[in-house]
Amino acid sequence: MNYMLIIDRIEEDWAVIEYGKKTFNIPLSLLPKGAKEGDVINVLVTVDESAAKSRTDDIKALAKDLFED
Amino acid sequence: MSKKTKTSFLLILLALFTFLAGCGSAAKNEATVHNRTDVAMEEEKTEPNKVATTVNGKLVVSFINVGQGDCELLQLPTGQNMLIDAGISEAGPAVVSYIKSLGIKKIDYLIATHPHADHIGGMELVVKSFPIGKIYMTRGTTTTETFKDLLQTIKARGMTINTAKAGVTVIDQNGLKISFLAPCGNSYEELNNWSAVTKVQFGNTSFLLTGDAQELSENEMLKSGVNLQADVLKVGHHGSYSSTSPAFLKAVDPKYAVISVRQGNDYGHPHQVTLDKLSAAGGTVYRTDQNGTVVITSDGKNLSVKAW
Repeated sequence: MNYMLIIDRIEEDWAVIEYGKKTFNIPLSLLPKGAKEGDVINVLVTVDESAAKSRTDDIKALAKDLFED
Repeated sequence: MSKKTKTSFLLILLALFTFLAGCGSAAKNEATVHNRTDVAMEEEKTEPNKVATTVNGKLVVSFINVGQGDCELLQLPTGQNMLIDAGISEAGPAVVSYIKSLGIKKIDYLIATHPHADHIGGMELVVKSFPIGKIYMTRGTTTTETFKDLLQTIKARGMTINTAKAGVTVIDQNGLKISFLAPCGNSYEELNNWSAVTKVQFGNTSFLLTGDAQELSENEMLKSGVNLQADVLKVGHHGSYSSTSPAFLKAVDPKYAVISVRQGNDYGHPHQVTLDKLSAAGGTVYRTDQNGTVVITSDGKNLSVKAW
């Protein structure tokens, strides 16, 4: 079931988001400026395949140089 | 409670314990005891918390350890009971369990300081679990499911809500006076400042329970000229720097300060600046993350504190 995402409150650098009557924190910096308690928010999550590929290559190269055997 | 009723009550208690000791398996007993003392959230420090005992003629205030949130149970000298806030929704079962463990059958007064989830989350379950007398809330509303469901539960039970605001008196009898000192205004940008602030005066002792009221509300209370002095202060907003302004703290001048907070919370509560102010003011500070449920009893003259 899809619940609405609602800003319950702002605490310091965190937005406390209500989702299905439980809450979790997301960094306030990820929210549009001016977002406030009581706002209903929409979150769109996409997987960035090219960014992941680039990081994989970078880190594999870094690790390769560090292994002795 | 009459002497006869009190004796019957004790007999029932005695019978209950005899039953538990005689009939229940050891494992079952252990589970029962664990369940009713373990009020903290699963992921938190789960020291067994002390459970208040009902003492007729005394005022017993339990600052129930609900993790990051607020919940205060007041067993009034009249024999009635008052609950202020009920923690987050996950705390609901533990709050109900704590109340039931004291033999309490009815919440005569239910107060929601303001509709943030860490204050009203467990309240829907409380309303479903006990007969409720009067409900008090401030007029600050929000859009969350938690708040909507609470209102719908209240509506479904055919109950109505009384407005909590400065100047409203809940009880004034036999040396016990409970009234609201805030909110003083009619419009706030932040829900925290909508917080109902409850003053409890019993004989020569007093408690000030502030919800999440911040400096703006504190200044309004100071300006209103009401007597803010209290022996016990439930520190505003979990010890955040947003509350407990110097002028306000000076006016309250508490002997004991209680901070309701979860260890290792993301918000840095309680903030060091607040702890420093409380330390400089000279009172004793209790914290639910360190002391578990804190129980303060008043006989109208003296206070006694039970905390780990």
